[in-house]
Amino acid sequence: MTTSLMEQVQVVVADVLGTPVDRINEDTSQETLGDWDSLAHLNIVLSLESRFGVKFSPAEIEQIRSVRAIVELLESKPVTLA
Amino acid sequence: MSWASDKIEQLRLQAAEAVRAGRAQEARWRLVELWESCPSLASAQFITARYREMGSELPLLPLRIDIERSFTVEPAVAVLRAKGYLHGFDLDVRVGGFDAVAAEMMDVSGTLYARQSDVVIVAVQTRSIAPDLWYEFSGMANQQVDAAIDRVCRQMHSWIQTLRSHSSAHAIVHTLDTPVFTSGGLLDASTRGGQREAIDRINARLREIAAAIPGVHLLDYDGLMARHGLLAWEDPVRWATLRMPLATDSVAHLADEWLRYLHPLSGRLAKVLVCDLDNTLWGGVLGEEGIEGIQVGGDYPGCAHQSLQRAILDLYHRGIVLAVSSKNDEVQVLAALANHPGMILRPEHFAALRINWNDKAASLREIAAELNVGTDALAFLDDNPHERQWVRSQLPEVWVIDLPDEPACYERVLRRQPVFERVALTDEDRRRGLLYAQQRCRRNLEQSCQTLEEYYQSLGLIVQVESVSADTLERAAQLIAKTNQFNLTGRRFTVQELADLQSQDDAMVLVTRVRDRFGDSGIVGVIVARLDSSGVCRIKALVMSCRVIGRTVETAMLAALCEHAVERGSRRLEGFYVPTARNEPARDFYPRHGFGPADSKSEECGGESSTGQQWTLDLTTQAVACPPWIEMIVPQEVGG
Repeated sequence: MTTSLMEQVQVVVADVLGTPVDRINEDTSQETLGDWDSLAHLNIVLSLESRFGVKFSPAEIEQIRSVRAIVELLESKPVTLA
Repeated sequence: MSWASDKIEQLRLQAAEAVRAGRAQEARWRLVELWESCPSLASAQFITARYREMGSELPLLPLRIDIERSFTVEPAVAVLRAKGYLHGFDLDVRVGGFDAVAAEMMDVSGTLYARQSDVVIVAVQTRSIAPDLWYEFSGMANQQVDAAIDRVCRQMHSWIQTLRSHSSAHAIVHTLDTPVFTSGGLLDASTRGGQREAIDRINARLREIAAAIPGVHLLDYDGLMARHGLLAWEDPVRWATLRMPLATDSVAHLADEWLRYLHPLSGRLAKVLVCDLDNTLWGGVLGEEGIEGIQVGGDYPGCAHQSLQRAILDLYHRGIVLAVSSKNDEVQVLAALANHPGMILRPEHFAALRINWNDKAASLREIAAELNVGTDALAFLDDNPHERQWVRSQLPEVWVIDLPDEPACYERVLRRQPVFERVALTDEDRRRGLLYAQQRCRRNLEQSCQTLEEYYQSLGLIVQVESVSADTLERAAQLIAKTNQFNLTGRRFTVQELADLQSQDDAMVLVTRVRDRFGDSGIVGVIVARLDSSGVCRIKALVMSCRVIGRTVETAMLAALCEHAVERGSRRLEGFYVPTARNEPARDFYPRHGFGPADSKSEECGGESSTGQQWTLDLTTQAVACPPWIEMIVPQEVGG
């Protein structure tokens, strides 16, 4: 059983927002999901950092606005899976 | 991807499946494992969602918490909620408005007070309550610093006082934090009147306030940060961009620290620590290597096991009862405990020993029975993961401590277990080890007596029942909180609630002291009763420590209550027996003392109602007599 980065990110976002994972897809973003408010944004940032062992710069935190953007961001970083 | 992410995915699926299939204990273990493999906010949210799905399948203690804060604590609250579930709590947490601490704490008709929380956390940062001391310190004159300190202390004092007079909640107050780099640089450490000193002065005053006002507990925030590394605790980028001071890892550490308080504040505690011996208290296997071969003290790993023993001795002095469960030869073990030069713990420190080849779950049950506690009051320390897993599966209510592979880390792991935390220590706690030794003598006497009566006579019991006072309030509240077996209603009272009741004319809070020829058992019983104008005295709580069960002390307590009730004009005594999971020993208390059943109905007690069997005694025609073998000491006056 191997899960892709995309799937894992979707799981993190679904957990943080308290939403079933099948409601989350590549295109899910702050615009498409009302629950993705500023507090959820903070929680997503913290979750991604501890889940993937990365640290985001202020500019990167700004980019974390959709599932696709998160995956692209993580792919550009040396990811150490926790 | 690596195996780790597969493992996490697998744990999630297994947990979700166990929840769906109604296998609650298994779900709990999977979720604990998930948290340990991946302690992130996403895991926390997942855990919370699974517990909510399970509803009430696991026994959870509901607790209502309010957090008054000056910074973003929400991520830590999410972790607190999830870890609370894993520790057996169902937490209802409300976070106060951002930086609205002063307004909410002083508004006695506001939400904070309306919720009647069990715990209120006051989490204020120095930079928000004393921005001058934080940001402008180098430019301040001494008098300005003094004035700022005074202002902050008075403000926090008035919050705490207001809370105390309008709420019975426990307060956890963060002490004020010091900047990682103080304004004076190196000079701050060596000159008088530095920034750290100024903040220390505030914290010293907070300690005085906490000591003077019951139910107020300080959380040493500088100490918490230091434990995890000051520079790593805060993330300056996060603070500058999101107004969130905590670094990612600190979020869970803060939640853990709160949780550490919730155990002692709610009474979810371990009273007994059951220790394994081989490769736990000492290195090596006694049966194979002999007394000379086992390692305790001296070079590694002996010094690591000795450090663990020191930590256990600290728990003993904190009132935690020690026991041994070991697969070994008893004679050899007793010789090692008594004679090995490196041992810190000696035979007299242990209240019960199970040294045999039986399975450890059975030994734990026997130890609990011998010490008169439930198995849920036990914690279990064993280096062997198979033994731990076995005990977990047989006795899920036991607090099983997961030791790491490395003995040098045992001590720290033991010291951070929240079930051994106490927020107040009474004389009884400090003397508990001695009390258990006396108990062993009583057991020997009982076995040598022909009849129970002869045993009672030979004990020379002296019982004193008196009104609770400032000196005994803490012990009375502790006794009510910790007594599960001889507890008629299961209702808990905080120190503050007892103090309030004691000051009212229509209430009585009586404490009972017991001693006999073997020694002083101290305060072992509490009765809370209310009198009404129609001549009825209602027993709201009656608890007696398991330590004195079987010495007819409860009859003496009831006799004293009857006397006081009649003296204050009561004609009838009423009480409820509310069955709980553990209070079977108190079931026949009322009928045994001549009470007759009354109509069962629910009893209103401060908003919450409890159902159970109601019992009544006509004081005009009946009385409960003190047993002839007990000498009753009647104090001067009761009430007011």
